[in-house]
Amino acid sequence: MGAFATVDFWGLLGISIVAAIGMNLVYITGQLNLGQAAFYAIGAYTAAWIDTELGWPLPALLLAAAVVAGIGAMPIAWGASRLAGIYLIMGTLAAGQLVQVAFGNAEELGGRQGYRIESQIALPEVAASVGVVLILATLLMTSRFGLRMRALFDDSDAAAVAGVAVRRVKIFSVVVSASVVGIAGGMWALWIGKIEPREFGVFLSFDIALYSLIGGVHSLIGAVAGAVVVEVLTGNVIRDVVGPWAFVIYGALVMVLIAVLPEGLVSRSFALRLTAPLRKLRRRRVESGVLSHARVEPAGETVLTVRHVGHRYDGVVALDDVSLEVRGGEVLALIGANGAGKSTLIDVISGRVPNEAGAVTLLGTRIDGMPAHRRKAMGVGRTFQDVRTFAHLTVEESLRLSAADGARSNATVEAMLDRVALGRRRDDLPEALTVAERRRLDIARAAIAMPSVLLLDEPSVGMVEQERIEIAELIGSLRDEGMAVVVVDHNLDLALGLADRVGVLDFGVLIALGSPDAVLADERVRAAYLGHADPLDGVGS
Amino acid sequence: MTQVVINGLLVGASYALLAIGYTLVFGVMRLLTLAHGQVFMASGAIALIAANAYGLPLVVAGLLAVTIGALLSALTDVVSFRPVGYSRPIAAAVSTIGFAIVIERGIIAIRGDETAVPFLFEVNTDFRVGSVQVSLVEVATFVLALVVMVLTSRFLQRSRWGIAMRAFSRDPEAVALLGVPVRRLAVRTLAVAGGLAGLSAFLWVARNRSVAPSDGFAVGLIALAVMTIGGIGSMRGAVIAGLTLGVVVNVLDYQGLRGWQAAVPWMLLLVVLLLRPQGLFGEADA
Repeated sequence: MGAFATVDFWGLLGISIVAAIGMNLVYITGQLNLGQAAFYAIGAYTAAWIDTELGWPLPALLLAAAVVAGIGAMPIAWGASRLAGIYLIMGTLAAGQLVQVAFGNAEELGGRQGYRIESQIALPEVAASVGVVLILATLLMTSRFGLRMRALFDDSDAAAVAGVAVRRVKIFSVVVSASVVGIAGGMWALWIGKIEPREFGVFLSFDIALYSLIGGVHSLIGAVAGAVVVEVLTGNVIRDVVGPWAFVIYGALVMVLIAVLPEGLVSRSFALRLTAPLRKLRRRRVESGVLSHARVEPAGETVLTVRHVGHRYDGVVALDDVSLEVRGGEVLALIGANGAGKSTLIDVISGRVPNEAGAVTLLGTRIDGMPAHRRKAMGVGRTFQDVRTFAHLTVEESLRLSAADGARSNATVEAMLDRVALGRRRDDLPEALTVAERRRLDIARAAIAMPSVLLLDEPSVGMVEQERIEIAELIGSLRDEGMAVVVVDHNLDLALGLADRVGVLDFGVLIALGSPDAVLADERVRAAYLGHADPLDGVGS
Repeated sequence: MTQVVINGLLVGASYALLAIGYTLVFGVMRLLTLAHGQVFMASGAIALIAANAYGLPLVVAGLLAVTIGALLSALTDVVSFRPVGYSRPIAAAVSTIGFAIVIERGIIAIRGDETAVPFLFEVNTDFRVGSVQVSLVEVATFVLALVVMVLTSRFLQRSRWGIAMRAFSRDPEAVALLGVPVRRLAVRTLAVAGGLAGLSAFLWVARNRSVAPSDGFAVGLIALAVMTIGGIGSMRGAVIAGLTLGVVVNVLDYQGLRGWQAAVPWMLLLVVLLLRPQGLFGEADA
C-alpha cells in the first residue's frame, strides 16, 4: 500500500477535491447536475489552449478556466432553473453529452486526437489551489448568500417566503459550481499533459456527482470525504491490489452507501458536531439587541388591503370575491370549516399562489403579481400549516436566513432567540426540537424581519394548553409592537381570545367580518356552521 | 435517399424498443434506472459469450439474451430500488449508477479486457425490395417494436395487472392497501422491461456483429433521450421519437455530418425540455 505515497495519487486526489467542492456548490441547492464533465472539459481545454497560445502563468490559467467554464454554464443554468427531478437529470446529462461531442469535432483543439500541454502543475501548486478553493467555498457557504443556497435544498417554497429569489440563486449556483469544476478540469489538464474528448464522458459526470452524494452535500468536509473515498476506490492503487474487479467493488459500494447513508458519510448533524468548537470560538458575544421595526405604522392605520380576490383550484372555487383590510396593531382571526379558503387566502397574500381576480395592496403598493421573495422584502411574513422548517439549517441559521438585510442582523437574531426561548437550541437542527419549539421557530422566522403584516396558519395545532398560552402571548406581543397579524386557527379559544376582529370564510366567501361578539351572533355564521360544530363550542365557557 | 430513410427507421426501432423499457419502469414506478443500457449490453454480451463457448443455436442464444435481460433488470429492484426506498427517486436513480458500474465492469472483468464480443453466427438475411436493400434482422426489430408497443399499451389498459401497475404509479400505498403485492409488481415490471432490452440487444448484435461493454451507455443513454423526447410514460412517444431520431441521425450521416450526429438526440432533448418538458406525448404530471 506504499503506492498511496505516490505523487500521482495525491495530485489526482487534490484535483478531485476541487471538483467535489464544485459539485457540492450546486447540489446544495437541490439541483443534481449530471453534466459536470462539460465544465471540467471546458476548464481543461481553456487552460491547455491559453498555455500553448499565450503562455500565461498558472494562477491566470486556472482563473481563465473558471471564467470560461462559468460563462459556458450560463445558458445551462438558465435552462436548469426551469427543470426539476428527472427532467433536470436529463437536461444536465444532455448538456454534458453535447459539450463532449463539440470538443470531439473541434479540429483546432485536436479533435478526437486531443491536445497536448507543455506546462505542468506541481504537487505544491495543486495543494495551494485546493486551499484557495476550499477557503473561498467556505466563505461562500457561511455567508448569507450561502444560507439562501442551502435553504433551497430543503424547501424552495418556504425559502421563497423567507426572502430567497429562488431562480436567481439556482442560476448563480450552477454557474459558480461550473467555475470551480472548470478549475479542477484546468488542473487536471496541466497534471496529465494530454487531454482527449473521450475522457469527458458520462462516467466522469457520474464520478463528480458521486463525490457529493457519497461524501455528503451539507458540508465541505463531506465533499472532501467523498473525493477521498471515490479516488481511493477507483485509483490505480486499489487496481494494483484487487485487479479488474476493483471497479465492480466500487459500484457495489456506491449502492450500499447510497442506501445506508441518505446524507452521505458526513451528515449535517455530524458536520455540526465536528465544527462545534470552531463555532464557539468564532461566536461574537453580541449584545442582545432590540428588534427594530423597519416600517412602524401608527396603530390603527390600514396595512393590508385585499380587494375582490378570487382563486380556483382545477375549477373548484377556493376564494370568491373576498375583500378585507387589516390594520397595524390588530389581530384578525380567520375562521371557517376545512376547505373554506383560509389557507388559500394566506397563500394568495404571501404570493405562494397567484390570485386570479382582485388586488392585494400593502401600505399603498400593489403586491399581487410580485414573486413571494419580493413580498417578503415589502413586509409580508408567514408560517405554514404544516410547519416548514429547513431540515438542514440550525435554529440560528434559519433565523439568520429570514432576518432583514443590514448590519444589525446579528443582534436581531440574538434578540429573537431570547424572545422565543430558543437560545439554548441555537445550534440544533429542527428534528431535535419539540413540536412547540418548532412552531415557535416558525413564527420567529416569519416575524424576525419585522414584517408589516404577519400571516399565521394554524400556529397552535398539535399543542398542549400551556404551549398554546405561550404562543398566544408571543402573538399578542408582536401585535402590541404594531404588526398587523392574521391568524387562522382551528382552536377557536386561541383565535377568538386574541382577535380584535374575526372574519368567517365559507366555501371561499367571506360571510362575516367584525368584532368577535358581533360575528358569533350573526345568523349566516350560525347557519354556515350547522352540520359542523357550533362555533361557540370550545370557547372558554 | 429512400435507402437512407429506411435504414434510419430500422436503427430507430432498436432505440424505441429500449426506450419502451425505460418508459415502462418510469411510467409504473416513477423511478429512473440508469442501468438499463448495461442490462441491454450485458444480456447481448453474456448470450454471445455462452453461444461462442458452447456453440448454442441462434434461437437458444436469443432466448438466453431475453432471459438474462429480464433477470438482471429484476435485480435492479433487489439491489437498488428496494434498499434505497421507492420514495427517494433521486437516490434510487443514483444507486442504479452503481449497478450500471457493477454490470459493465463485471463484464470487463469476466472478459479480461474491454474489447467487443463478436457475433459468430452466419445469418444471411439481406433481401431487396426494388432498389432498397434491407436485412431481415432489422425488419424484425422494426416489426417487434411496433407489436410490443401495441401489446404493452393494450396490456396496461385492459389487464388486471396492467391496471394495478397504472394505479401504482399514482398511489403506491393505496395499491398496497388494496392487497396488490407491490414488490412482485415492481419486479415483474422491471423483468418485462429487461426482457425487451435483451430482445433488442440480440437484434442489435445480429445487425452490428458484436457488442462492446461501452455500448451500454452509448446505446442506453440515447434510448433514455428517446424516452424523454417521446414523453415519459408514453409507449407511442417512445416509438415515434425513436424512429424519428433514427432517420435524422442516418440522414445527417449521409449528408457527411458524421461527427455531429451524436449531438442530435441531446439537442432534440434540450429543445423538448425547454418547450414541452413533459415530452411530445407525455402527461404533464409525469
